[in-house]
Order: sequence, then C-alpha cells, then structure tokens
Amino acid sequence: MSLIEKVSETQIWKSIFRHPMPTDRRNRVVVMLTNFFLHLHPVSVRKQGIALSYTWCMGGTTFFLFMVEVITGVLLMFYYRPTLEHAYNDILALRDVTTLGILRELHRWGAHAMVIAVWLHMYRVFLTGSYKPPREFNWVVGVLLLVLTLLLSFTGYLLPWDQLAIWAITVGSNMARATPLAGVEGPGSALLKINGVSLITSGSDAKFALLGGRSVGEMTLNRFYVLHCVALPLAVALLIMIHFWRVRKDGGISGPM
Amino acid sequence: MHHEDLTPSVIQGLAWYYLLAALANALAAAYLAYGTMVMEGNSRVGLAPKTRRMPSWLPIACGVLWLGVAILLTIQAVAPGPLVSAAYFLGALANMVLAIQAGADAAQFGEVEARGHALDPDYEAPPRPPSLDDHIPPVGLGKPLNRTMWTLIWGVVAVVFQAMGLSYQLGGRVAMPGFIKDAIDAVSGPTSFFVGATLAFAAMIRYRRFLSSGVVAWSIVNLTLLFFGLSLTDYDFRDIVVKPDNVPIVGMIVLVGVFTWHGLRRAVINDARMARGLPNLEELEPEKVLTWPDLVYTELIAMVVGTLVLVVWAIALQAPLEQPASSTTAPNPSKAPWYFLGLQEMLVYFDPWMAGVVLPTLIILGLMAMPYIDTNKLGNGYYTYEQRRFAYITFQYGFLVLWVILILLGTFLRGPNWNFFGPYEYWDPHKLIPLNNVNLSDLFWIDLLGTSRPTNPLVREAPGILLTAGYFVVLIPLMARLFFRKYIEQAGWGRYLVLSLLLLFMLSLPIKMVLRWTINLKYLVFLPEIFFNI
Repeated sequence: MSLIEKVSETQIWKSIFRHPMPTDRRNRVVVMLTNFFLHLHPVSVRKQGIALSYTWCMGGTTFFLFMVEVITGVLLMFYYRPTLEHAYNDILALRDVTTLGILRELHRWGAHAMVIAVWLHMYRVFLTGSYKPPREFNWVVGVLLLVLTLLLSFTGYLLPWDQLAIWAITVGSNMARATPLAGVEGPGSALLKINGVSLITSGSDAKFALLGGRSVGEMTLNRFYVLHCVALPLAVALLIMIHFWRVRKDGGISGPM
Repeated sequence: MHHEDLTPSVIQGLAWYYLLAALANALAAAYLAYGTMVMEGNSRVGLAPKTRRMPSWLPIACGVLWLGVAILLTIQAVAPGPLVSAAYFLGALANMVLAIQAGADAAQFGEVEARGHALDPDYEAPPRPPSLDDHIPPVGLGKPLNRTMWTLIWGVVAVVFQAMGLSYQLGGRVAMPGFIKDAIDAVSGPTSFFVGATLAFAAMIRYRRFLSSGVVAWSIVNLTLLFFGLSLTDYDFRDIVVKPDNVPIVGMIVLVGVFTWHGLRRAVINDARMARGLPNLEELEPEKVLTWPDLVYTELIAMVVGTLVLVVWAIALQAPLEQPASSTTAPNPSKAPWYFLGLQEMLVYFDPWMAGVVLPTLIILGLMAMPYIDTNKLGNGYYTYEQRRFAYITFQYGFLVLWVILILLGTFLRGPNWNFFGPYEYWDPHKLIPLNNVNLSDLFWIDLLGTSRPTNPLVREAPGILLTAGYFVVLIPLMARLFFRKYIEQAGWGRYLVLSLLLLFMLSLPIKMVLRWTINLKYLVFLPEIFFNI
C-alpha cells in the first residue's frame, strides 16, 4: 500500500474529500459529484466539446484571470490607500520599495489579458453559433459580464492617480456629459425644467453622478475604488455563478445538436 | 525632431528578434520534413501515418545547444559578462543545424520517392493513390502539399532570418530605407487605413479557401515578422509600439489574427465536408469522456501555463506609472483606456452623445439581441461560414473592422490633437491639419440654392432632418422588400425591425466616414441650441 493510499484511508482525508483517490472509474465519477469545486462540472463531457481546437479555452482563461485579479487585488488593497495624499505614493512604493511590488504588474497585465480573453471567448462562441437556442439567455449574461469586465478595468485605471489615470478617466467620463436627457450637454436635457429651473446642471447630471464631482477628484477616486473593489466584483461573481449554472442547464459545452 | 533610430540595445534586441523568427521557420521546416502531418480529419480517417523519421541526434543536438543558451543567459543575469554573445551564437548554430538538416532530409526523401530505392535511371514510380507520404490536406483545402519543396522554402527563410540576426549581432545597421517609410507615411491616413481594412476583410471572406491553407498563413506570418522587424528600426514606430500599455494591444492583434484564421479554416473545412455529405469535424468524435481526468487535467495545465505567462510578463514589463496626477496639465494626446479607443475614434465623426453614449449602448443591446434576431437554426455548435453567411459577415465586420481596427488606429496612429500620424511619423504637437468641414445646411442653402441660411433653426436644418429620417423611413421598408423577405416570413416584423435598426446604426459610422472624406461633411443636422448634432 503506497503512502498516498494510506493517507487517503485516514479519517481526516475521508472527512475532507469524502472519497478515495479518483483512480478507478467509480471514484472518478464520484469525485465530480461530491467535491464542491468539481461539481461545477458534469461527470462526463463530449470529447470534441473540450478539444482546444474547438473551445480555444478562452472562457476558462477569463475565469482564471478573474481569480488572479481577486487574489492580487485583495493583496494590493493592503498596500494602497485611495486618497489624494497617499494613492500615488503607495503605487510608487509598490514599484520601488515593497517586496511584493510585482503584484501590481500581475494585476495590471492580468486585467488587460482578461479584457482580451473575454473578447476572444465571445468571438469563439459566435463563430460556433453557440449563442443559439437553448443558450440565448446565457449569451445575454455573457454580454453583461463583458460590460462589467470593461467597467472593472475602467475603474481600476484611475487608482494609480498618475497623469495616465486621471486623463484617461477624464476623456472617458466626458462622454457622460453628453448623455441624452441626463447629461448637461446632452440632447434634450434642456427640456427638463420645472418652473424654468433646469433639473440637469453640471452639478446634477450623469457625469456628476459618475465622478462625484464636476471633474475627476478625490470623490471620484473614492467612488471608483468602492466600485472597483466591492460593487463590481460582487456583481461579476453573481453573474459568473449564473453563467456557469446555465452552461450546465443548457446542455453543457456546445456541439452539433 | 530627430532621435537615434538604431541604438545598441535596439540592435541587440533585433538580433534576438530574428533569432526567434529563424527558430520559428526552422521548426516549420522540421515539422514539414518529419512531422506526422496529423491534420484535422486526417487522423480520424486513417491518413496520418508516420513515414519520415527525424534522425535521433538532431533533437538531442538542438536541445543541448538551446540548453547552453539558457545556462549562459542565466549566468549572465547573475554575473553580467560577455556571455550574451556566446549564447546568441549557440542559438544561431542550433537554428542553422535544424533548418539545414531538415531541408537536406526532405530533399533526400523527395529523391528517393521520385526514383524509387533502386538507383535505376529507367525506374518509373508506379501510379499510386494519393501517397500517404504527401501531406494530404483536410477536405476543402485544395491539392496535396509538396512537402519537400515547402521544407526547403521554410529552411531557406530560416537561414535568411538568421543571417539578418547575425548581421545585427555583429554590429550591422540595416534599417528600413527612408524612402519606404516616407512612402508608407504618405499613403497612410484614416481614409486609406479604413478603406484598406474593409477591402482586406472582403478579400479574406472571398478568398477564404486560399487563405485557410497553412502555407499561405505561414507566408503571411513571415512577411509580418519581416515588416515588423524592419519597422522596429524606426524610432517613432518603436516609441509607440513598445509603450507598456500598448504591448497588450500588440498581443491582442496577434491573438485575434490567429483565432480569426483558425475559425475561418475550420469553417472552410466543415463547409467542404458537409457539401460532400461527410460529417463535420465536430461530429467526428461524439463519444463522451470522464471529466476527471480529461477536463480537470486540461484545466490544471491551462492554469499553470496562464500563471507562467503572467509571471514572465510581469517580470519582463513594468506597469506604467507617469507623473502624479495634475488637473491643470493635460497630456496631448489624452487617450481613454485602449479598449475604448475605437469609441474615441468615432468622436471624429460623431458628437459625444452618439459616439460615447448612443452607439456604445446600441452595441451592447445589439449583442444581447443577437440570439433573438438570428433565427437561423443551422450552424449551432460547429464552425461554418456557408450556412450563416449574413451573420458571419456582419459580426466579423463589426468586430474586426469597426472595433479592433479602430482601436489599432486610435492607439498607434492618432497623436497630439487626435491628428493622424503615419506609423513612422514623429508625433509633432504642432502639426496643422486644415479643418474645412462644413455642415449639410451650408451645402444645401449656400452652395446649392445660393441663398443665405434661414434663421429658424428647424427650417435651416430641415434638409438634414429629412435626410436622417428618410434614412430610416425609406431604407427599412426598402431593405425588407429587396433582401429580407424570407427572413420576415420566418422571423416576423418585430425581429426585422430590431435587426434593421441595428444594421442602419452600424452602417451609419462608415457612411459618416465616407461623407467626411468625400464632401468634408461635419454634421447632417446641426442644432447646437439643444446639443443635437448628427
């Protein structure tokens, strides 16, 4: 009896994994049903469905990168304070002083890679017609995840508080000023008046709501930080759960019907 | 302003660049010479025997040489010395050995095959069915490939690339000739760039069978490598391309290209197979496998590879950090994050409320609507072009040209004041571009009727408003009659209305571009009083 076999016979092992090593057919089936992380998967899959030449592995890569972002992101939150006083210097310290400063590189390049991986995943899903019934709704969930991924990346772009950051966000958020009806320079916003008093001003329009001020400032940093670290990741996590659950319910990885 | 085009570190970098390009071609030559040629479909219909063997000393020799390269570079990183050059020559030697041996063996195989094993000048090879020794391409990809010839070609390319690399390594200063750079700069512009991309897209669809062949694709890769390598000798080109935040975009372009080609190739093969009544590639292996180990291990390997790539990337390239934020000094150009640069490019042709709000919203809504308006039941779960041409062309044009190409344009070719700069042009903040754009109301009232513009803004803008309204009111029923009869029968008017609206909005961008380029049109409707400019 090998060491691994001995270990897998112990009470501790059994209490955690609820089954021996998946070396025979029965246990390979059981492991998929009894392990919390593995039970995302079905017990068996179509061989062509998991071929790399078919799926490109981009959906899984996206999820992997999301996990990388969560882990490195949480660690970065230990080092970073989202205030005008500290933000830039904390990033500078990550670059020059902090031992694990490479976390920032991992986080930033992982974020770029995640945006690209989401696009490529959608591209593959389109090319194989996998958005067609019965997977229509899961495609919609996927589009929402695309939007959230872009928003996550966009809100994170501001946090280093350097020239690159604030001017990219300034350019991006200037668009909100032109939102029809809700932006101060948007078509139709001048029509929204009560007794001659405009409802939409530069202090109450869509851009102000986004930035928490008339221009990118400390309130923006705070707002983007909360969105980036709390609100958007929670929304993404929820939608990912729905996305994965629907993959299973809609018949698993797509293939010829 | 002039900067040094070829600094010592650039020359060193280029030497290694061509070393890797040569390695890629040497591997391609070896793959053709010795590979089992297991192509899609071949393995499954029994056409993939291994008839050519690689001499066993070859991988050992190349492996030892590359190990030497790795060891020398590691020592170099710990204790700097002149070991980089030694490592370089080892790598170059490995490339040469692989390329030349593969070519020689292929020629030998070819000769034996042509003459038979008996060295008899009168020997004639008996007529035979397609030889398993030829590379028989998957159904739909044309004639068998002459392995000997293409091994020799890629071997020669490897040697040429390696020679270029060695010349840099020995201090050579080959740069892209100035007149070529000037010519490319002169013909580049938003118009030629966008029109060229659209034509290239049309050609890709039209000549998809030709393009799907591996030899054609590899030729394109080689030309791109050469062009990119030569371009890197230019300071201004390099300055933009190797900006840390732009490196992912270079990676994205490569990945999008590879996957576009791969998807197209699978579609071409499937279409040809289905036309002959054969099952498509996705139907060849209908059996199921257990998730543990088949999928779980694949996922594990993918995660390990992903981690490695990220860690190497993070070590090699530092995340950008510029000067501390200052709300008073705006950089010129001010650019949005790269994934929004397609939208920023649209600002040239539309006001912010269209380019920044309405069109992005419609992109998202249109993507969501896609599964509900695409009622074509074919092409579900396999690659195909023939069975869903309209959806394929529309989506790919939107993704490749209107999204990716515009990002490329916005990132690499838009400089200060959002002016267009050729790839080798210095980003001069004082470059003056005459702005002589006119509104439709000017064209109509002043140029056409020869009167002054009416003072009532609604009358003044009436031509533009009518034209814009007409665009939708006339084209929707017209397209319904001309192109979408069958679709409406099948899907109903509700879906058609959504589809046609999305299509017309999508087309509004190229239309607005063409109007700008041809008659310098700025706005069709210009009502600044209520911020309503189209």
